[in-house]
Amino acid sequence: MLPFEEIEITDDDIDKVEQLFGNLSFDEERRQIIKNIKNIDIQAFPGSGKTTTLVAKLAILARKWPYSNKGICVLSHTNAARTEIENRLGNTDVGRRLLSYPHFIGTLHSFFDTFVAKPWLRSNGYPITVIDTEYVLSKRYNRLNYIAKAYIKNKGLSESACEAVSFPIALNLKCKETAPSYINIMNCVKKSFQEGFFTFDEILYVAKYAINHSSYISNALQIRFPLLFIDEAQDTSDYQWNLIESCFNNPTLSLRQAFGDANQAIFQNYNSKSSNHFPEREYLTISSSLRFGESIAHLIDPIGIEIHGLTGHYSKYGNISNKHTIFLFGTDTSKVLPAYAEHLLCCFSDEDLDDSKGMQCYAVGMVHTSEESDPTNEKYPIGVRDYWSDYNHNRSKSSYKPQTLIEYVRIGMRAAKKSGNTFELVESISDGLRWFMIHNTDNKLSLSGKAFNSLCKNLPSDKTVDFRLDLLKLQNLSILNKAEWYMFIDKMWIILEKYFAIRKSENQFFDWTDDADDTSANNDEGGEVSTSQNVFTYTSPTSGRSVHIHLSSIHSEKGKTHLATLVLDTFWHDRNIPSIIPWLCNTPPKKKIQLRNAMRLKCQYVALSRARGLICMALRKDTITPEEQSALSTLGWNIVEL
Amino acid sequence: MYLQEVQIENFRCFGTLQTINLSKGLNVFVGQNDSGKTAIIDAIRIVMGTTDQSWYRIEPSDFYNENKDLEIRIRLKFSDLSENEQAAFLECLSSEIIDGKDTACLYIKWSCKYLLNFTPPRPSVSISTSVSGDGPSLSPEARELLRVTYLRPLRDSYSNMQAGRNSRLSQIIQGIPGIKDGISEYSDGIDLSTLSIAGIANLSNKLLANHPKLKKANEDIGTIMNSKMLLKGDGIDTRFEVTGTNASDDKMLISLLEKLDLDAHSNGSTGKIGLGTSNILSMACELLLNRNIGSSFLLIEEPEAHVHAQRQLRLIQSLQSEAEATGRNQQIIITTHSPLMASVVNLESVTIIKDAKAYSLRKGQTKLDNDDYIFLERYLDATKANLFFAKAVMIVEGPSEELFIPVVAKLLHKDFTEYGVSIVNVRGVGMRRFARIFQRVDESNTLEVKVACVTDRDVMPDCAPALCIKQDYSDKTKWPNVEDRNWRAESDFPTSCEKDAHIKEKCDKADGQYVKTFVSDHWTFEYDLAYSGLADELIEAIVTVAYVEKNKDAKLAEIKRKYMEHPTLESKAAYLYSFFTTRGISKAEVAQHLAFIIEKKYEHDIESLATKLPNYIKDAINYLI
Repeated sequence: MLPFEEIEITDDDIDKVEQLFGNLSFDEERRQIIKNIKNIDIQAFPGSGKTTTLVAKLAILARKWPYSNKGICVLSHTNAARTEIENRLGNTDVGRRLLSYPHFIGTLHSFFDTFVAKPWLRSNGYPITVIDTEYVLSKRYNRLNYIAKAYIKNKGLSESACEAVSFPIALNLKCKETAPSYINIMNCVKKSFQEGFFTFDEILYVAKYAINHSSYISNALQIRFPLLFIDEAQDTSDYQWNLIESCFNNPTLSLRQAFGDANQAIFQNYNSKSSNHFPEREYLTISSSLRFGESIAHLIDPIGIEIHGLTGHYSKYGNISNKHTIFLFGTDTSKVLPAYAEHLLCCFSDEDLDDSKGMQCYAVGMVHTSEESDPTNEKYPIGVRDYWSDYNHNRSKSSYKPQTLIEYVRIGMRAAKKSGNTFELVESISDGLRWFMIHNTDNKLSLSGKAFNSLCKNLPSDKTVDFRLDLLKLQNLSILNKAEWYMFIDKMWIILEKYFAIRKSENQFFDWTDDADDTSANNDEGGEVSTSQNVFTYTSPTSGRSVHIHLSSIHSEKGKTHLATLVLDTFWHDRNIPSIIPWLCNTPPKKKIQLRNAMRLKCQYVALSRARGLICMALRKDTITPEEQSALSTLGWNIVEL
Repeated sequence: MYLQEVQIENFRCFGTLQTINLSKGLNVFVGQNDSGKTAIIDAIRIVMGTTDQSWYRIEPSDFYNENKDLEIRIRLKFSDLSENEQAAFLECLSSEIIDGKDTACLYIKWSCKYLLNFTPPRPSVSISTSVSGDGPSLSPEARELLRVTYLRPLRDSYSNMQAGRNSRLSQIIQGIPGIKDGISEYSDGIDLSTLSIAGIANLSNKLLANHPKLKKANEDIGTIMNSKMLLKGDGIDTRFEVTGTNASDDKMLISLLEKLDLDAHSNGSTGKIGLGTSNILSMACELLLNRNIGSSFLLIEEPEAHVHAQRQLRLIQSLQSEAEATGRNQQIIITTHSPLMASVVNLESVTIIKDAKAYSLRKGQTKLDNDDYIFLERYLDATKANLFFAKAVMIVEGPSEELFIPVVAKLLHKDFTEYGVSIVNVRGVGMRRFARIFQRVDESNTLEVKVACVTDRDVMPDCAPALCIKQDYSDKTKWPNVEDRNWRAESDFPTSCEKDAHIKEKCDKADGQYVKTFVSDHWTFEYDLAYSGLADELIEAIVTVAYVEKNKDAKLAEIKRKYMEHPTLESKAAYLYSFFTTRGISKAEVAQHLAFIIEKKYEHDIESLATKLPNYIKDAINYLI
């Protein structure tokens, strides 16, 4: 028995957390999960408040935690748990305690990086300069000689050919190790390692190597973290499970609880014969969704691939429970978004649709990176872009970094205006300068931590005061037009030369771009407005009311809550929605599910479980039979032909 | 976990980077004043923090040469971390390969720079981890594991053990496990011994409030107030209350502990104890606190302060056993100027600090071999341990040299005491073992302490065996075979080549680095004195020692006459030496008288003394000074 297992979580404790969280109550099902301190998994359906339940549990445990040098570890794939703690407990003592030593709450990558890979790299003489997949791979690719570049191009490979697939370094190239391209790429990767450049996955390979070779690490990890929670457990890859299991391998030292939803495992590699790690043993269930009502739960439970029994307990939009709609179009996709917009305007009040309330309307597709395709193509529409040509898939990536300084300045200005904290602008400008310097100069700036700090660290101590003053002067400049921007840039060059010895040169990074996000200027024109934020704005010609529709991929919307969601049919080896109609109709085929269909089901499940009030789908009319239409209609879908 | 290595740069007397290695258990820093002992202790405590939570402010004088442009850098390395410690420092660990296995260790890098653009300049400190210092900084909880208990030099141990706010004694006792156990609320019929300390405080508060005299006083005050000063119907009650009655149990515990004095009584007497005893008492208390589970670190500067010799021995032995106790992981680091303490600790625990460099006497660091350690542990006493504190050392075979040479040196204006030279008499055994203490395995970092080994050549003139051993031996053919006798004569080394080889052999046993052997020019110390020109003085000294007062003049004349009868300088000197061999006169006594005679005779005539002294003695003195 581990000492912390004696911690008893009582209803009283849970009541206190409810008060702390404010207007929230945990039902018996959730209370049992909060109280449980055993090796067990938790299957939580979409919108069931899984992370909130976990955070409540953490808050109680942290208050009763008996050690000062051993902590709770919460691993996830996103920073959702951390953000939730910051939001709910940020200003409380217990929140601060959870977010600092000896506990760890963060992503799997940052865990293995902080506790295993970085200490190991440091002890073995590797510097740690940058850990970032995109940046590191492009840097490596640019350094290759023309033979290697040609090889990559001819074989249809991408920059990821320059990524190691294990440690000690090995490459996934189908050529001889003596081939000139192989040697060049290998040397380039080796050199990059020596200089401290790693991709996220490479850090995991290093971690694995370190764990296998330094036997003390796994033992120390388990002693340090006797209690391990894995959030979003369904998205953990085989490699990651393996890594976790090789560290937390002694059940007498630590205890593990995995939280997740087996139906939403969309980040796993679909074609690997990955064994199902979650839930892998006895599990408790949170079946009731607090996100949406029973009408949505009823429509999507059949497409859950692993576990069924979803119920919906949100009642606000009960009045539109019969408005879930399937739009059928011929070949003209341009009608889809306006039709969806009109439907939204008819289902929701202006107050519901107010973006600033936090909940937004979305249109999502499984495929979103493709270029625009020809409507005559039989695969049409292939991706999200075929529904709206202004769609830019880069923007919906969470790792999106602006490509010009002016974007950084604008982002900073908006953030500063919104929060009232000037430092947001300072930080944003610094972030831009840091990105520029790392890409274009030899300055050894740290990529981690606040950009402003890493710039200051690079200055001699007697210059920091002046640097601060000069940056301060930039704060009050206006950059509304091109002329103002070039004045701003002139001042910026003076700063760059004075403090970082960077001579003025031509670089697109400093160019003026139109402020595409500034919708206020052209709002009067009505109709459709394109923006670089992937927001489609529709104003009804009849009522004059308008609605914003955010376009995105299914993958990037995971974990989020929408007001309404439209799933756009896309093409990936086959049509995505029509392929899974049998499940949507609750008449699943008896035979084993194909891997691709499994992926489609999971994606569809994730997409349709985002909305609080309304779910819709859009597909080509000729891809669905009349029988299927009537089956869906019987289940509760409205069928609308455009 | 223990502190294995300290690196210091630009701190006080440490300019360029210096590495100091430490062992598990007890470490004793010895050395002259201003050699850097305290700088090392301070470097350790500044980086690790102290258990009394005291704050150290970096002053300009802490920078090497007071140069504030420099950056002070201190790096500590901890090894042998327990599993719990590895877990606690997980994100900061480094690894190194020991016996082919990756093993965890912890580096802490501390640096301080003066921010010169402020007036007065402010120190800015940063702490990080890992070999090169690019690791994350330590969290406060993890730093707690590293705190050292620090006993400063010239500490006021007496007041440490006295009551007062935040008294050290109260801090120590709060750290005792289970100090809060017991019942904290007194109720009737309860067994008083089951009360916790807070319970005792509660009980005493209650008793005070209900004391009859206090109660009466309270009532009287109430009566006066209500009947004479207030209006009818104001109805105000008074009550005595002990301060802190409503405080939490923890606060009550502390306030009660702060009232404690620790007093010692010797043999039933009372009153203030002596400085030495309170010093020992305070160390005993700190050891108690340091006994907690986990690793602990104790730094004591000059534990011998105010403590007399026998107690010093006892003290160092108990520190040693405390540091070596199994089941605990306690590292004790002390500095000392006491040869007595230095003489009883294991030689391996000793580190000589000289000119801001550390020279550990651990196996593998010195040229001493395993036998030498065993030998020296047994024979290193307080007088010999002097050598740890000396600027230069002369090692001699016996008491004659020990008594005579310093006197001669003083006459030659090279006073050993003035120059900080220690003379160590090894009584005929292990001279070279003592010398090897100063020889380092690492030839690039030698210990700059000049050591002169003064020894006899032990080759007698051919006439001597007959005079000093057996009369028969005047006939060389009667000498036993070379291998059957333990003495040598000049004719055993017929060529100069062989003579040189003999001397070289003697020197090679010890010479190297700053150790140099000085072999007598001929045979033994006394023989060489007589041979080189001090025969008259030697005769006088022999007579003084060997004969009673009334016979002295006659004997003196007789010996002088016999002396003159000997044909050669060799046989003359050998004749005098025979007094020690055949007559058994004490060499030490003779040496003492000889020194006395020479002091009187040559006080104002150094030049003629210099001509009469054997060369090897002059050379040895000149080598050291």
